[in-house]
Amino acid sequence: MLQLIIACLGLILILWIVYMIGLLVYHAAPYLLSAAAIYGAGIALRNYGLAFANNIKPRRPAP
Amino acid sequence: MSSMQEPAVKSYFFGKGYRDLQATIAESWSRNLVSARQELAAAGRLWSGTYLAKGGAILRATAGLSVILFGTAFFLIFSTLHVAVLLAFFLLIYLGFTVVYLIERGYLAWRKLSTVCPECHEKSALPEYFCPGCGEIHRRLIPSQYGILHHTCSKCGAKLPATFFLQRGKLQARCPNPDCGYLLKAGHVESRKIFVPIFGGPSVGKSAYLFAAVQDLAIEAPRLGFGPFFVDAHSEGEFERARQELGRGRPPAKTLASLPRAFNLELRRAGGQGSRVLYLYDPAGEAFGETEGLILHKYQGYLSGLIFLIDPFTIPAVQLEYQDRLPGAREALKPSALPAEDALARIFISLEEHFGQSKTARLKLPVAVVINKVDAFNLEDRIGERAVRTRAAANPTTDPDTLRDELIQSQLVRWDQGDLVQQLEARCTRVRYYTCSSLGRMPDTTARAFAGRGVLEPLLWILGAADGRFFQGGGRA
Repeated sequence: MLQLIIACLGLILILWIVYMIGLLVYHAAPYLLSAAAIYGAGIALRNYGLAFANNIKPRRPAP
Repeated sequence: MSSMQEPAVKSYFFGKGYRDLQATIAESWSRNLVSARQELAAAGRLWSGTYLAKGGAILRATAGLSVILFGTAFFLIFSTLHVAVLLAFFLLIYLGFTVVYLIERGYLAWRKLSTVCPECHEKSALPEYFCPGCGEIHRRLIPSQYGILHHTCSKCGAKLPATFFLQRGKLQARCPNPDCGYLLKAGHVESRKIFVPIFGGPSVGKSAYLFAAVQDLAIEAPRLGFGPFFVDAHSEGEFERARQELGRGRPPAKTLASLPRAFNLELRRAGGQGSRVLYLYDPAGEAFGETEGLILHKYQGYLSGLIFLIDPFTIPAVQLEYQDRLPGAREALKPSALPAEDALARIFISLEEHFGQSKTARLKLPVAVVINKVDAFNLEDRIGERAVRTRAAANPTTDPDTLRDELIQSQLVRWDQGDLVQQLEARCTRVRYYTCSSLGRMPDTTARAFAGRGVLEPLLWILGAADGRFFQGGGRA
């Protein structure tokens, strides 16, 4: 009987952990995805900045 | 503001700015693609791993897609901003050089400053300038996309003033006519000018008149408040040669060039009150022998006045009057072979057919009709200044200039030149009659110096009539 109780409690614990992980993933995923998107945006911004710095030369070329 | 390629560095906002923008967009896209590929490749590698790795793969893929998405957004936003900034500066500079250019053109037009080539007679708004550093030709040295106030030579980097107000005229210039290219002096460029040709048939004494008038002008100029200066070495050398010849009692050599080079003299008012550059023309008399002879004389398109020289010994009535003495003096007098009426008719035809003069309109420019060679026989007593003084003494209330006009006119009519007088009076609004002796005496075998008489008055009258404010008090009104 005790073993059955322990097994049930274990199952409940596992389900609870899975639930909690699911809950965590459910709540954290948008943030994670947002962070990934911001990371991508940062790369795009850095790329434009580097391209700008490399190509915009308003000074007149030396003859 | 033509699109002709100038050897100058174009303003950043008129070309390179847009090329830079294009290169920026291309490079940022290429970088974005590389970054996205890196992220997606990393995602692909992680996908085959654990669940956690799979989560990481999703995040890396998201980052890759984000690079493309935000790359596009940034490209659109920043490019729009970039173009807006470029266009703002473009418009600002365009406005700047247009305003400076219009002010300059307006000022030049108001002050009647122009560029005229003394060699080919091309009148132009702008000569071609040489770069003082490398000698490269700048054809459009004006406020433009190459610079509002200065142009930078693309060959040597020298800064050239692009406007009249910054002493552009001090640069060495040349005639913009591709068939000419004559090196212009400062006086030929952006200065106020007066154009006076001396017209008349062959051997009427045009060259002697020109040099005698210039010599007298040089002597009289200080009294009139001017300082005379030669604009170029050519005119100075020509004058010096003629002065020496006249000083030795030799008439100037016959003009051979049908299309004359202008003789230039700059007259500067004392006290820095401006200057005028005289363009005097002495075409060969043969140019008046046929109607087509004057086509190339482009200066007829912008004349300030005209001196029409008459040799009285071309007139049959005069030849008849002096038939007893003329054969002995023929060699010295060298009577012109072309009747004055024919020469005048060809001048009018030339002006009408090639220089926009209407056949019915009257010439507005002052015309001085000058009877030369009055030193011969007793012409001075009949129509010269002595005769005018005698008349003036008898008519003290009448203006001597009017008396002179009447005297010469009536004598021309008596010499059967009524048609000539009628033509002059009918076709010209301002005509004055003068007599002169461009040599001062009959040529002979002696080396006695020639000294012209009465040569300056017609020129001064033309100058006064053409530009009264500058030459006030210089001649008859």
